[in-house]
Amino acid sequence: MIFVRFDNVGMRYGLGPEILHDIAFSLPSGSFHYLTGPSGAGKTSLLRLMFLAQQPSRGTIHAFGKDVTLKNRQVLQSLRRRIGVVFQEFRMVSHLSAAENVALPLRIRGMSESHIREHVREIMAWVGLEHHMEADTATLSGGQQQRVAIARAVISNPNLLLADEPTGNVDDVLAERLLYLFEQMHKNGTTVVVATHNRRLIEKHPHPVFQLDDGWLKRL
Amino acid sequence: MAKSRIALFLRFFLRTEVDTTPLGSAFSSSRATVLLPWVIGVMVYLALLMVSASMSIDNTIARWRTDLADRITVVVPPALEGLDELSVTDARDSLLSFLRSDVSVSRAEEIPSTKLQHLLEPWLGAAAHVDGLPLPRMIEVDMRQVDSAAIAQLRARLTEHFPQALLDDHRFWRTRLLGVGRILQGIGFAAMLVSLATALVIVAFGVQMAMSKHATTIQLLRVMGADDSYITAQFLPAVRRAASVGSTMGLLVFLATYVLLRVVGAGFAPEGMGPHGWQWATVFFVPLFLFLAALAVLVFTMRDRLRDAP
Repeated sequence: MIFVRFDNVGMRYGLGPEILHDIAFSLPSGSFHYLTGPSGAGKTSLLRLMFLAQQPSRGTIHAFGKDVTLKNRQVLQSLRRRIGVVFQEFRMVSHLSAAENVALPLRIRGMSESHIREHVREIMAWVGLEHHMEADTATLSGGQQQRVAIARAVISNPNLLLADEPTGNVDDVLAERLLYLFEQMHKNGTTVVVATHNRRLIEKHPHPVFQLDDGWLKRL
Repeated sequence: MAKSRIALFLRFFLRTEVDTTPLGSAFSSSRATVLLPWVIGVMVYLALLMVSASMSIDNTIARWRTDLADRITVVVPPALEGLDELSVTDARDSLLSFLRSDVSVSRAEEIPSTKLQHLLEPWLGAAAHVDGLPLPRMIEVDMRQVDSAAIAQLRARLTEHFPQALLDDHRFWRTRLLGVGRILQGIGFAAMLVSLATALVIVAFGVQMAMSKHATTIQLLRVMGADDSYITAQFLPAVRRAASVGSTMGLLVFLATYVLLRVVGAGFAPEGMGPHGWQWATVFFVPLFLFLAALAVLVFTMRDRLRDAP
């Protein structure tokens, strides 16, 4: 089953120049892909299209079998709930504790408090932060915040997990640990796309690679 | 759509704490909304003053309508040429008899000097003796039917028998007074609407400022799949608190003002001053309306802003 399919997608911000050109690819269910390319190549923009925060200027995008360019708000909202996103800059909600940040996707889904507590405890233990549940996120290190971000992205057991430079702000040891978490999700059946330019990591954990160069996508 | 409205309704009524919500506590402590209860309070207070003034005018108009509806006044000038006081009294008695026997008159009574003294008290003081003053004798006349023809006929008969007596038709100045009263009442009502509208515009601005401040978090929630009702519900506790505190404050200050005016003005305050009877329902409805309208403004403002988001 194809989870995501791009057909001749082009994208520009406002009236600016096109930054993604004729993007065409598909992500089968349960696949693991890297997305690489130099800074400014359009990786984040491509990911934004994939997590449905942006509409393409041309072409069509299908997510989970639905044409998302039709802009049906309710469809988009329900599709977004099937996608987990790890942002490069973490995007913690500053006044919430680590556990409350992780609980957000479940709260949005209207889960019961007991269910939320149980799952948050479980997932925080999975990322090795069970002793930092009530921590103010501002007091956590970059690596810890990244793990909170991953926990938040995966707590709702998404079908598709997108990570934008998750290893960009951490050392090699932590990068290995983070990738281990993504691979575990992949083994559990989640479709994973990791945007990175860490070549060493890609070589050590080989998966199919998409390369973006100046807005053009090619499969390596 | 219906499901999300029900969800919003339930969230609004069931949730009381805001600390674990992604925007709730941050919104309520933002500069955009910290003054909101005060602004709403002041606007509710002004609106209530306006509505109260409008009601006072309405009460006065109603009294004028009933008190003066079928009434005219016949005035006997104080110094009739060539007549002494006794003759004036005789003339008054003759005039009273004449009026009472007229077919168009149902009642004719002289206004007693004590009432005249009461009417003149604000200008002459309580100690003034009106008996020594050259005041006109005034006769209140209730007519069976008041219309221009009946009054003209009575005036003609009066002129024929009592050329010095003057007939004062209240309808002329009553119509003008009622007109002025209605205009003032309209101004009061319009001022009340402006006060309420100002409060609601400020609520809308506050919500927009808070949304701009938390744009990143709102975007994050959307990426996680939050629908508009969930995001709107994040702002509800703060707006609900600001609207309820502000409305209550405005109402309490108004009630204190009313009591103060009643106490200070006891004895000489106009009879129709302030709300009476069912009008109190309107007084309590104004803050309730603003509270509900503030929540509606929140929902519409957010729906409008979120509609443009992808």
